[in-house]
Amino acid sequence: MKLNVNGESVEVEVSEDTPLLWVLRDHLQLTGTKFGCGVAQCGACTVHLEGAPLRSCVTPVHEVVDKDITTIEGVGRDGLNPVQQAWIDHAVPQCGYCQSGQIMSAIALLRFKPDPTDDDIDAAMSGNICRCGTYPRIRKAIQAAAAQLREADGE
Amino acid sequence: MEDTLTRRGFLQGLGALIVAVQLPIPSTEAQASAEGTTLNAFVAIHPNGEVWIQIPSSEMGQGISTALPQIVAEELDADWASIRVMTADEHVDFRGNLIPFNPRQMTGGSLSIATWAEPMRQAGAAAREMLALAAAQRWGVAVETCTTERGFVRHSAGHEAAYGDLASEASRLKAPRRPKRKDPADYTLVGHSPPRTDLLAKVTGTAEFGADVRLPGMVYACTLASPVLGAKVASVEDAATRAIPGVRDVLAFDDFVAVVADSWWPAKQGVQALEVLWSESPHAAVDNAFIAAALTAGLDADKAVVGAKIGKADEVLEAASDPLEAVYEVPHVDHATMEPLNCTVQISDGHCEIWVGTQGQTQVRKRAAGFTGFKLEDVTVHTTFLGGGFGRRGRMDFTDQAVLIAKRVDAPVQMLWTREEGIRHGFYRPAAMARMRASVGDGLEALSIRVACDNVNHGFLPRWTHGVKIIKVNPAEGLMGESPYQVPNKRVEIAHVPLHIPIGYWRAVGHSYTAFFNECFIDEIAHRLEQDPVELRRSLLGNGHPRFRAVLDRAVEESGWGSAPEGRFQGIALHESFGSIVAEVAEISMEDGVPRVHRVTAAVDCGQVVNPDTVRAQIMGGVIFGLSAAMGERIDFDGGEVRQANFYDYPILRMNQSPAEVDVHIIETPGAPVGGIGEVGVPPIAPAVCNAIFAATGIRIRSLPIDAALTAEAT
Repeated sequence: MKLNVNGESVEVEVSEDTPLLWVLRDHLQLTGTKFGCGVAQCGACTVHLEGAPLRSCVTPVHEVVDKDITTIEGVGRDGLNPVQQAWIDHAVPQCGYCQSGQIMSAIALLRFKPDPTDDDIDAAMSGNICRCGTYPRIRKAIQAAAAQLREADGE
Repeated sequence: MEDTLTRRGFLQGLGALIVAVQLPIPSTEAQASAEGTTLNAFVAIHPNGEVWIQIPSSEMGQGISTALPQIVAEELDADWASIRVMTADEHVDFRGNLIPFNPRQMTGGSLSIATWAEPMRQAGAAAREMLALAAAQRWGVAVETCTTERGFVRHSAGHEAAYGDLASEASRLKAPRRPKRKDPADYTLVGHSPPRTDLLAKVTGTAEFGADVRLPGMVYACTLASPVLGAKVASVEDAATRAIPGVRDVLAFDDFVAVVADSWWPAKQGVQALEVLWSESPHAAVDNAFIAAALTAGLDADKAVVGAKIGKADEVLEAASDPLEAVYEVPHVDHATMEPLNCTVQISDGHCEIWVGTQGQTQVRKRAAGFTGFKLEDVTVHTTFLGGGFGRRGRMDFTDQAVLIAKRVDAPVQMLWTREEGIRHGFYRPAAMARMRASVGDGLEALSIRVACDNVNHGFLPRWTHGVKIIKVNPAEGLMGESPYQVPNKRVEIAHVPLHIPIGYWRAVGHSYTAFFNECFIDEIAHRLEQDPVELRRSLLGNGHPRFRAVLDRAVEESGWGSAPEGRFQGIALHESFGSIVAEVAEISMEDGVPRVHRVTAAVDCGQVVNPDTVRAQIMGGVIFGLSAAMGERIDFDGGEVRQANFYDYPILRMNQSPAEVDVHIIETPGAPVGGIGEVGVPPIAPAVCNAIFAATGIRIRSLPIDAALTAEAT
């Protein structure tokens, strides 16, 4: 099976109903995408499919053949993404395990809503559980990244 | 941070200065090995200028991989950007006295700073002196005329040398036993918030958690233990499992079955395809009704252990005309760490090597030695980042399983639990009940508390400790001498109720429920007295507790107590745990009968502060962790089985339910002992929110979680 992951074409030999998460983690060694629940309840496994957030733990790999998949390893390759930088500036991570998924959800949110309201943030981020309770800092970091991205767009 | 630090790398660097520090802890093992005396090292300075620091504690989000290095770097006068950190492999030198007479490398009890600050100071100060002396000798000047700053030694004549350049010469000097310490007034790192050392790795997906360990030829295991507590494997039908491509083996053990496969997904599919018959369990009758009946019987039992006795509470209550009485209760709750439990083990050539996110390295190592029959020095425990700990990763059930599996697999093996396995096989915060009684006249005349609970220490501490008073009364921690409220007559009793349910240390342990019992009941007393809850607390504190008073007053002031906007209601709670005092004010509204917490204001006095931003982050996290449990978490039992399975029925608080703001205000008390910070944000939030709900609705929540209590109230 041929996959496009982080801009590269890769060949994997797995049964076609294997969830994308395990192809990434166990076959491609891309361990930045995390396993949290296996039933699309926690968002730790969030990746982008054609730029939109996707729960990779419940997505059979055959459904994403020939589509662009981006993981946390792929978002900051040419310097940190502004969302990642905002996460650092606001010292968001604690244990850090959920943060790959949080960042992937946040990047996707800002792609579709460059100026998100609190309700937009709730709607986009409530599928991502953080057991350490970093939500207030995640909210602030998203707002800061949004402001920075709008500025970079040259209003 | 992007460097992969290893113990070997730590010790190898040619010309590196490695500072050996003798710790004030008993050493029960021979320290002779190929690496000799360098095994004591905390600090290594490499020729390239990097300062490598090995810390004994595990990083599970609490920021210890920043705070302890701050202390070293402060005394060392190191450049913060040069700091590299790793958790040390298990070794006698990294064991602390967290458990008396039983030194262990472990992380828990909010004790890391209190335990390790001193050795870290010593390590940094000794290294600084050696570098300065090496420079002085090179330049032929008196060491007293040299200064150190941000990774350099300088001399007034214009000499300057980088630490990395001096490391080799310094390494030939004898480490001073009593190096000079900095005056705290001169601190530039301790008490400040330099960037966390783990941030970059954690926003780029490169931080290595236990489940991310990848070894050549590694295979994966998924396990299944009996759904009914205490049952053993009777028989296994595995034909369907073995037919799954990628499945290598099915291994039956005493009380669990493991499927080993080329990758984890077929192993998990394989577990689902198993047909396992389990033995009859003596605990098959455990259900919610059994738990409630047993705890109630504890409240009503003739005898209980007395934890505190002041005056004549029973007599005063007996004589009281209209005593206030209430029964409070909390359910079992799970840690539900985001990273499911896992452990990676390689057994080959007479050596057992373990990679794990653990809070208990020494026990992991000793138990692995026991299971393999190897000597301790033939077992290595590497610590990865922990995807949450909260106490759960201090248990060895999952590391034991991984070692047992690895013994029967001819390859390195990573064992990873499903979420369902984690929820159903926890070491839960035990359910607890309390009967609270007060005699209220012009003020609080007498207070009597009976706590009924299993004892969380029994499964963890050596058996001889079970009869010790402090362990026997521990389920009522926070209610006895620690409680600052001055009550003329007071009695606290503990009824031990063994439930045969696995229980363990859950963030804040007993304080997680005793604060709820006590601080809600204080609110009930205030209501009876028609007094403002803050005023009652102030009068109960009297003049003898200035630190409590300062914390309370700060929370009151910063929250705008008494002036909540229209439709908003406030509740307050004050509690000391782990040597730190915390007050929290919750500001809520009721929306369709459901409380929504908008804002939490916290004030904390935790003694000396190493990193204020970490303190704020930990209080924020503790508030949300405690709020999550208070709002909706519960573990139910039916037929000896845990009913919950995953996040759909074990709900963790989400972004849309989280307060937008948790304002944390730090009160520094000069000279106060170091308090903990990882757990102390948890206890006050449940009572603060429940007291706010009472202010909003007149409904008194005496049973957690809140959602179930409000549903019961509505029907």
